[in-house]
Amino acid sequence: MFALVVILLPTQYWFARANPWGEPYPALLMPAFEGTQTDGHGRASGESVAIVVSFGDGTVESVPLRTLLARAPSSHIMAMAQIALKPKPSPPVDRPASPSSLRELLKRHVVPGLPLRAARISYWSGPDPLTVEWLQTRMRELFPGRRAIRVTVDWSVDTYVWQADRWIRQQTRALSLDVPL
Amino acid sequence: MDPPADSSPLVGRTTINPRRGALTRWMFEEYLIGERSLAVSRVLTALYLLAMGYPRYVWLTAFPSSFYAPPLGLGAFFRDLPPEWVLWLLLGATVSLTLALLVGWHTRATGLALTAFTLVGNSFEYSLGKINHDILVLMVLLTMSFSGWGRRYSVDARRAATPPPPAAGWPLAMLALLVGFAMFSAGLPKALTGWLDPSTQSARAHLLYNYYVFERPTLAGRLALDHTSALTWEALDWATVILELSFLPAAFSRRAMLAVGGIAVFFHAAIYFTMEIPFHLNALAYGMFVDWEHAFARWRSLDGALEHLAVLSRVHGWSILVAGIAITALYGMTGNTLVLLLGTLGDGDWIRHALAMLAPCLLVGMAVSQWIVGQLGVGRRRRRLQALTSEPGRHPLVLFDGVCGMCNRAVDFVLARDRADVFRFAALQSAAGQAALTRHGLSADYSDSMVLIVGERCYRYSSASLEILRRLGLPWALLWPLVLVPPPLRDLVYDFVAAHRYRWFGKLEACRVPTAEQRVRFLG
Repeated sequence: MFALVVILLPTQYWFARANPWGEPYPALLMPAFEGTQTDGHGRASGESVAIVVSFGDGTVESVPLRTLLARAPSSHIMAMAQIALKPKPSPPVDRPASPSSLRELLKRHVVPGLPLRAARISYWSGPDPLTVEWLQTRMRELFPGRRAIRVTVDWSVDTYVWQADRWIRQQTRALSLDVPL
Repeated sequence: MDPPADSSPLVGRTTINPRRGALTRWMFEEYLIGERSLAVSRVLTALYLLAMGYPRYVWLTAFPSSFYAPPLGLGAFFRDLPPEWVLWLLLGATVSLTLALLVGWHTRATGLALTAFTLVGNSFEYSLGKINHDILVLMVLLTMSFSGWGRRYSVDARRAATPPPPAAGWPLAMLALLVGFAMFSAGLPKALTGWLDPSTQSARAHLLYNYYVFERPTLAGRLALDHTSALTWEALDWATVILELSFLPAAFSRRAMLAVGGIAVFFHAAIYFTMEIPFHLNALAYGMFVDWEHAFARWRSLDGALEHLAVLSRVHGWSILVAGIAITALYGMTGNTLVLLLGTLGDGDWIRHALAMLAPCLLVGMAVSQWIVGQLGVGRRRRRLQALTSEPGRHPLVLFDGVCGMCNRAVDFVLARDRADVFRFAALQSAAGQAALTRHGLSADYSDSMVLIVGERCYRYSSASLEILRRLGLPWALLWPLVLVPPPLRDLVYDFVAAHRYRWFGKLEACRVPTAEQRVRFLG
């Protein structure tokens, strides 16, 4: 059994990094926290999101992502926002595989969650009607008695630089999503 | 030489095959610890889950299926999140099974069922784009279910009709390997993606990201960002990678695992207080390797109370289920009760996580303090007084091959340096030696290595030599840190010398006869 585990552990590590669907669950992996680095001057960058709600009376309010997704664990909120509230490239129009191929049948009937994942994480066909409906409900909960007419989600790349004994944020607007309610 | 009457037998103490190789010894013997210690680990695990792990799953009902994007795994078999009642059922089942684990009710089946239900629940919870890396909880539940952690302080221990299943020493070794690999999987990508590059400070980048982007503005994070030099950040990058990679080699020695885990709990605490990323469940996994009985001398005063907890006799399956449903309902109405109570002091959730991070640090601090005090001589003088005023069985006993020239020279070496009169000696072939071997699960013809018996502990091979050197005091004790070398490696050297000892140092016709002065120190 030990020998089997010793063989399986590196294999699943390789598979987790090499397969096209991303990290599987369950897998015996710890977070790598790779990729984001700073130079010697502390320059670091990361993605941020700002949410602005417009109301029928012409006023606007900013809503932190943590507040919007309050019932989710804090570890999940950015990933959830990226799934449902971030514009991405449109899905490819032509499908290379025949819908009746074994691969497509498996995807559709055995592991339907995998194509869903690809569609929601990699591609974007506009805000899902269920997401819009959820946003309407959420606005009523957060702002009872006020009529929210639009939610704008702005995605930026923030770069932090250490200058004159303090951190300076340089924000570059990357994407914007307008959801009429 | 009899161990104390209430001593906890080593789990899996069937007769140990003396011919086992170093790797086999690691798998089956390195992680043998007492049943009481395992039971403490079980109780701690259940309490941890109740305090930190729930409520879960039901929050998913607040989100529509457009958030559903499952990873490759169980969640991929579904198109949508399960109905609300399934999520409540999962929460109720996991809470009830955790209660059953706490009281040790059908402990092995309970542990395995809890693993399965948690796996299912987690598969849905991690289908919203984010996998939390708490897989070690599942590994703890899975491996420890086979460790015999239900043999004490449990309903199982009280049920004569269904005695708990026999236990083994390998599950902890397996858990050590799994923890070692898991941490290695964190360290390796760091090493390969620039953490060790002197021109980058990755730890600082992650702190910045958490502080500003994830909106986790901690006081410690602010201080670290404003007052830590680039050189210090780079040193932290290196320390992080080295610490994470060192778990895998450390898995081959329980002592090394405890040392690395002890350092890691402070590392995890620092991560929490700067970035609010709570990795306290890792501390739970490291805690499985602690021999609670021996790590904390005061433990025994609690032992009697736990062993005779009257409530354990009255626990039935239905009462666990009722309690589980009640707690689940409470979670549904108020959230985690502990958070609610701590909320009267401030941010209840933050305080809860902070306590979970600080508690292991405190325990490690206590253990290290206890060890330092012992090394400074306070404890040694006390033990010496105890040894002089108590029965001879209190002295560490060295069992040696009486006809081996090298072993006899080693005994002379120890005798000459044991000015504190700490050790007693017996030939493996003597009546006292044979009795001690049998008592510790070794076969009567054992002659593979020197054996050191301290109380109910039994050290062999290089571990015995290093423990003897430690007890001789300075300068010999300076060699003791070699225990951090994985036993399979250091035992390779030991085995090689032991296999050639007769050829190199000769074989005596008969066991030595101690001199009149030595006689009091040799058992017949």
